[in-house]
Amino acid sequence: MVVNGACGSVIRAATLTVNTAPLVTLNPVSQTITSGNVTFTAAASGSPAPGGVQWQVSTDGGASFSDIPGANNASLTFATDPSQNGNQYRAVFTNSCGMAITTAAALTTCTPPVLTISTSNINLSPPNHAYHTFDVTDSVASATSDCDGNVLDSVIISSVSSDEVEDNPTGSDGRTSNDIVIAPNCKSVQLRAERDNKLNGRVYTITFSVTDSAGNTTTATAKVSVPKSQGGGAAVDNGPGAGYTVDGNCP
Amino acid sequence: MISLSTKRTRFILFLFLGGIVAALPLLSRAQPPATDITIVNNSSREINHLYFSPPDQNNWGPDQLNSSVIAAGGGSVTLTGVACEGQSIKVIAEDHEGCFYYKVVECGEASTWTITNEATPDCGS
Repeated sequence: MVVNGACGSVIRAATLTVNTAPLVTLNPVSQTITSGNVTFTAAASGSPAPGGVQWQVSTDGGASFSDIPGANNASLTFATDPSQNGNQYRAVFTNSCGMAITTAAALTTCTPPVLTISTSNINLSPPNHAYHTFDVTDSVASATSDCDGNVLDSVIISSVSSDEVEDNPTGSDGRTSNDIVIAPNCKSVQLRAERDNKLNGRVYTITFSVTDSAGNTTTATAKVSVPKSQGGGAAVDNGPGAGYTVDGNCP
Repeated sequence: MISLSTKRTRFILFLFLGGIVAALPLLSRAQPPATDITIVNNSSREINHLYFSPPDQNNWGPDQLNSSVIAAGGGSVTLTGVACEGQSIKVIAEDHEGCFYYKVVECGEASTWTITNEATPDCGS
């Protein structure tokens, strides 16, 4: 500042501060989480630096927001639960000049899909080496996800195991190979009606899997049994360790 | 003079006997024919299991041999009074390798099925 006068001048420096309203520099990012904590982060500039931040939540798809008590830091961290699926979160920054509101970030809280098996054990008879085809829907009654709804169309056969070896050169199971053939799209499998007549029947275990949009995977199994003979007792499952496993080639 | 009640009794008896006569063909048809089947194993392969099935179905019954075997090189077994659902029955013999031999046998008279090495077993494909 300069003051002019007849007898001289006085020069004195002063600081001019121009205050500005907050300006959002970092918006929170939408997140999908299966369990545990989630953290949303936001930031804003302004002069004076925004001294107040208030996080808000919307439970109606963004139509209205309400303050979250005690949520006054740049980061918002809390434990998730499925009831929060679809909630939206935003931050409001304030200073003496005004306020700024971030965009809203959505929270998706998916629990793993639920696979329901309709037929847990199918009998395959007679043991005449013939192929029988089993579709996913022959054994899976339903597949649901709290994120994606009905995901039955996404169920695949991820693997099939047998509790007998495929072809025992010294055994009594015929002379076949490829007893388990999973279709390229993993929606069906051909199983050979066959067993070693010196053992206790063959049990195939079909493993189904489904993955939701959040990456959660659920698996379930169904059994297909080839009894040694009709009336000769149920096939006994000796587990895949006694036989072998064929994996599907689908993601 | 025949009383009315006697006439009624005779009429009911007539209807009853007539019904039996009319049903006789049906009863005889419902009775499944039985047959005796002998399996001779002239092959070099031991037969471990034996099943019966309707010829046009793959509905195999229980193993007829239980833990017995039909020895290779001339062993035999005769199953008597095998019940047939139709005019014929399919016999399935399974050897020690899990391979099958099939034979359709006419019912109503005794049959012999001889398995030889010329027979091609079904070991799967």
